[in-house]
Amino acid sequence: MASSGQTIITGIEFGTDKICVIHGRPDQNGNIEVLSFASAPSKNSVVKGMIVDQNAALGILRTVMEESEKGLGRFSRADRQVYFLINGMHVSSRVGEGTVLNYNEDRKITEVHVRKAVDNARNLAVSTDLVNIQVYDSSFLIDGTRRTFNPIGQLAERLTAVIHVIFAEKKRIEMVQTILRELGFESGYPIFAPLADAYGVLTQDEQQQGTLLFDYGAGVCSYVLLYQDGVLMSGTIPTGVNNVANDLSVALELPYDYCQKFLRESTLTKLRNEGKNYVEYMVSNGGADKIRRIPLDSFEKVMDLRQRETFTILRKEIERANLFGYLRNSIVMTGGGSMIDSAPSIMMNVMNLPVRCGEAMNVTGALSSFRSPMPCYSAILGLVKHAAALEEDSPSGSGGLRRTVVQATDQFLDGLKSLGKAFKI
Amino acid sequence: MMENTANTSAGLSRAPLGKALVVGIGGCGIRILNFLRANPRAKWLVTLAVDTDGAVLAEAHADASINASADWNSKSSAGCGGDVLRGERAVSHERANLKEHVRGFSLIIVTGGLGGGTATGGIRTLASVAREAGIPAIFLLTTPFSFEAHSRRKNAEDCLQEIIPVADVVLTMPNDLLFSTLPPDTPAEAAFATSAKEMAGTVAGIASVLRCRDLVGTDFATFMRALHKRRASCGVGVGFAENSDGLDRCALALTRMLDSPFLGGQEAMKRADAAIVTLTGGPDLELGELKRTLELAAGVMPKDIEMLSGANVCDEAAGSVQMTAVIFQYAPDSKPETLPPRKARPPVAAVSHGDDLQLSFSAASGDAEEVELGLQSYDKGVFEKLPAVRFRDEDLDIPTYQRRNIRIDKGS
Repeated sequence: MASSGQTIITGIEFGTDKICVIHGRPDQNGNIEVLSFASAPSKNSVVKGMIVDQNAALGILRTVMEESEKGLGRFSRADRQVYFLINGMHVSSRVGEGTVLNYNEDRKITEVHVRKAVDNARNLAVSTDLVNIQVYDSSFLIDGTRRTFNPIGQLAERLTAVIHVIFAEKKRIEMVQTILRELGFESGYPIFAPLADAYGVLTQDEQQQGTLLFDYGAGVCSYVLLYQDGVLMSGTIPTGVNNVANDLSVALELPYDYCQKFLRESTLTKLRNEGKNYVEYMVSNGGADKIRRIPLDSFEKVMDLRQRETFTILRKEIERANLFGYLRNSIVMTGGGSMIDSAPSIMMNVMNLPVRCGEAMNVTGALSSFRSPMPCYSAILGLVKHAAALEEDSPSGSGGLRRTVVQATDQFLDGLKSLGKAFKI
Repeated sequence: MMENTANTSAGLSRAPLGKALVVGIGGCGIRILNFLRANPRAKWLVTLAVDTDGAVLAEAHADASINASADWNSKSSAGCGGDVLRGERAVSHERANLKEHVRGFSLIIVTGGLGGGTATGGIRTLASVAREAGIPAIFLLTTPFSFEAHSRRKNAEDCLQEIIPVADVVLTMPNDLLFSTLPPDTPAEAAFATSAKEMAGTVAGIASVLRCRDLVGTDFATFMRALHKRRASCGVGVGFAENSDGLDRCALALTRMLDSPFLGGQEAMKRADAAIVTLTGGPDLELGELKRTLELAAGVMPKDIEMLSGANVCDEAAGSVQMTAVIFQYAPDSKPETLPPRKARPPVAAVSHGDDLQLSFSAASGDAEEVELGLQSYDKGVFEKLPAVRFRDEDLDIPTYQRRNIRIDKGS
């Protein structure tokens, strides 16, 4: 087992907006110490959470990695465990169900039954283009009706294991692995972004009581629904803050960059607070500058329409999965989109649940290198926390995540326990 | 659950007993306010008139007024000429002013006629102001007569489609319902006046429903409960009777309520899925009267209806009683989940709750539907050259306002 403070975790995010590298390690109190961090704009090498220009992404990552390693000191690349966030529409999830019959005379469920049920649940038929990247425990059904999270010792004739499996396109994962090898790393382990987020920002109560974590990113929105420390649902919606900016740009005939800045700097709220009703925008017209006055209500309307649509899609996805009833606690928003002033209130209105903006908890160290508001970095900070917990849980001190990826099947039950533990901060 | 929502959180549970503001917007809204001011039972309501036409505002009988100008640079008060975008801009220009006027109220009732410029364009701003202030708002709006221009009906329909997701409660009263009570030889001017008068009665009735918490409670939360996540057609009936009308004033009020044109007749009541019925009386209201009247009201409703009753006593109603009924007929579950395609037909008695994206439209009998041609071009902006990412058969990179056919004021 790796002792706390020895394993350095390198986390990488290929975001639509920025490519980031973070180096961190757990301290003796279980907090994460950030050793260094660097980021650079992804410059269209990543679109909607997916790398579309491998060479450009590699070039940016190389620069960012070198920048980040300046603050890292003596640790070589071989000393580090690399984890990377994955996101985008190529990530999918499914619920696996496996059943086992109990022939014991006393009808008590044993660990053997649980192991067999979980093994059966994992036998999902999926395309060969997909790779199973993570498996999370969800729940068990006793005799097909009663839901429990710890069936051992209970009386039942039939036990059904329900697990949550996350898949990604194999070629996307391989693309990242190729980039990492180019940089001298042996390999890296993928974590679905909202799960890293969840690990970083949710309290234990929130993980227990039914909370939706919504990562409102630049390119896509991804979400995960947690209940009783298990993952009930996860998914991705292919719209993000960039869509809001683009809608504003098209609707109001303004430059895209201007609209991005408008959103990033909360201009709507600022101008409203100043008592203004419109935005004054300078237009060059044949050498003569003219002022365009655009009503603030038009901005609000366009932003409201797009965000309401996105959140309504989210609500309908949860309702379609028949899981809305488990969403009992609240919604936690992270990502750059959560900083848009109207986003939490629209989410509250659509979902009828309390909403808060989440930031990674229990993080110390070199936080001054984060230039944007902290919710923008909750995923990569959560990634380090998630990875640290998995590393600590690993018997060899490295490759702990292997037990949760499809390639390693033997110790799946132990893997479930470790993830259960992983979600108990 | 609703108390957690953004636009309703601040006041749902404490709304009814405070001050209520009635905002009349546009020419029709001001006509309604004028009738409301003449109604002695509505004296407790504070009124605010909002219009772009200074001449109309000058004749408004309201506690306060806002003259909105569609021009950024001048304070022209010549109206907006039925232009929805000009109306929208004019009202949005007065946003700060509106915020000042709504401050301190615990309920806002917005009333007006859809189809023109000021009300149709300005409703969304009012919804936004109410939401920002955390004050629950009910929108009581008329939709144009079927003989009015197609463009007015389309404006009304477009406005409803925009307002429903952002407003708390929207109740629309089709003017066409008046045909069921008005003789064919009624002068057009009288028909509009009747519409405004009935709406004024409806506003007063709805306000009294929300005021009732003394004896048997109904409040804003009751409305939300009745409408929660459901689309419905609705009708509103108000009946009033005084001591001088005879011994059984309550029965008379009930009869008059049933005859209200915006209720849609007894047939509509029989088809209703839910109803909110309230009785308002003075200090002389007797328990026996109350019991008998609510029992009589229940008697005319279907047996399986979800009926929410309320009653209260207020000094202003001394010597009189008022029955108010709001009936809801929920839209069938088979309605499509996405926004319906936009069709050129008048909405009939549409009502919805704010967290639902959908509208309920009942086709007026005999109306031909206009088929929408799929020739619209979209501008995807920076996503134009990227491969389309479809989600549930929809290209979400196309701006939402374009897919929903919603007009945006680009300014000037």
